[in-house]
Amino acid sequence: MSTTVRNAWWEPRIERAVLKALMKRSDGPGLYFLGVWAMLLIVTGAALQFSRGSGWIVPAIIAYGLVLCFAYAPSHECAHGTAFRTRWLNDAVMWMTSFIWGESPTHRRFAHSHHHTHTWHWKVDAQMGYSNPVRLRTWFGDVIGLHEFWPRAKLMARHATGRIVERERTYLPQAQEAVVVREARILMAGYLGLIAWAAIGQTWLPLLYFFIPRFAGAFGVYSFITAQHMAMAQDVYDHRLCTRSMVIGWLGRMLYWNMHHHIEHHIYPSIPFHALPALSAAIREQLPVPSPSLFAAHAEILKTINAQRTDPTALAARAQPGASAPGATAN
Amino acid sequence: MWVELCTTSMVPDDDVVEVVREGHVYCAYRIANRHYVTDGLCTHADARLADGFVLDDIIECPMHNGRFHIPTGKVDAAPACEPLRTYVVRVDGGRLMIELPG
Repeated sequence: MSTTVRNAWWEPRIERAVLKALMKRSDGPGLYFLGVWAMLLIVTGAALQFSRGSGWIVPAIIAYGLVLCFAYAPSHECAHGTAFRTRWLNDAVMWMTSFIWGESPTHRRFAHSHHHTHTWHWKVDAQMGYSNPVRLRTWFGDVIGLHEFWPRAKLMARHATGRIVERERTYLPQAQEAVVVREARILMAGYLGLIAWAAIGQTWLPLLYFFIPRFAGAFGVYSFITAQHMAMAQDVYDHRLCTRSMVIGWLGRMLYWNMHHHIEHHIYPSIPFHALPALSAAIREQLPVPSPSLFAAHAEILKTINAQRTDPTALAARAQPGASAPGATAN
Repeated sequence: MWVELCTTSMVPDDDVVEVVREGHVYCAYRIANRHYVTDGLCTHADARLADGFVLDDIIECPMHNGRFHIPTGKVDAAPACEPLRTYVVRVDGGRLMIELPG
């Protein structure tokens, strides 16, 4: 039998029947999570509207932006095709949230697939932006989203002008290049339309409700994204060592669509977000203890960054072999 | 040339089983009481499809969620782009047979 990419990665012991049951798709949970996100957008958007003309506009725009930028989560789940059982719903939500997130749906799908195939393999993984040792300024730029804004804008502009670079060809099939270009042009037309509306209509609305909060609130979702792999092991075929899971509260779980179970998600990307807590419970003994909170994860990252100043090979404690329970054996 | 792939009792209802024959990986399915056989590795990134999910007459790759139509092998969802090879099958007693080029 040929050796496949799939079975190069460590896998936990779990009954096949349990896995199959966890893979089942449904529309309900996605609609519920999407509904909570929409309600939070409406509430914070209303607060932003009422705060106009006062100093409260600053915290209001940040609060609204924090919620808005979590478009990342449904966009990510839809990229996997696991957000909803109904295909058109998955595609429609993917388009809407990709517009907010700022990446063509097809490019996101292929780049993210590559990230799953080669998770945290330096100069291979299409979504790995830095390697160990990590600098403090890298952490800061990543947490506030600074590292993403300009590259994302350049990526969109490049795709909209029909240019695909060599690195993208390692994960994007040739037949999909035209699709990516067409999608980038559609998204770019939308952004330019919003700017034109602001300029011609002499209104602040597109800036207040889209562009400014998209930047001002990005640190929320990026603090979650940064914690996924930073200061973990790289170039290993074991998600327990290169990926971090966390414990977070109800609001975080709703906004992040359960991606705090990030090791579990990487081991089984076919399992939809709503089944990740059950998957986590089923294989808990075989995984490292998750970071007790988002803050604890960042404290661990900062401690590791400090250690890497003198020892570039230092890694987060949970990235060390043996951090998992003794019963967890590699394949 | 018809060859025996496996027994029909090995193939679960509305699901998939992997069969390796002479080093080649196949997937055998029983969907609504009809048998189908396709290649067993995803055409996108070489993952084992039998670890994936059968949704009606679609098989979804466990690694990137690319999808294929089981009866025809046609791509149903990205990131898969190349179709999956399918095989002509027949049931001979309790044996699942596939036709291979002579």
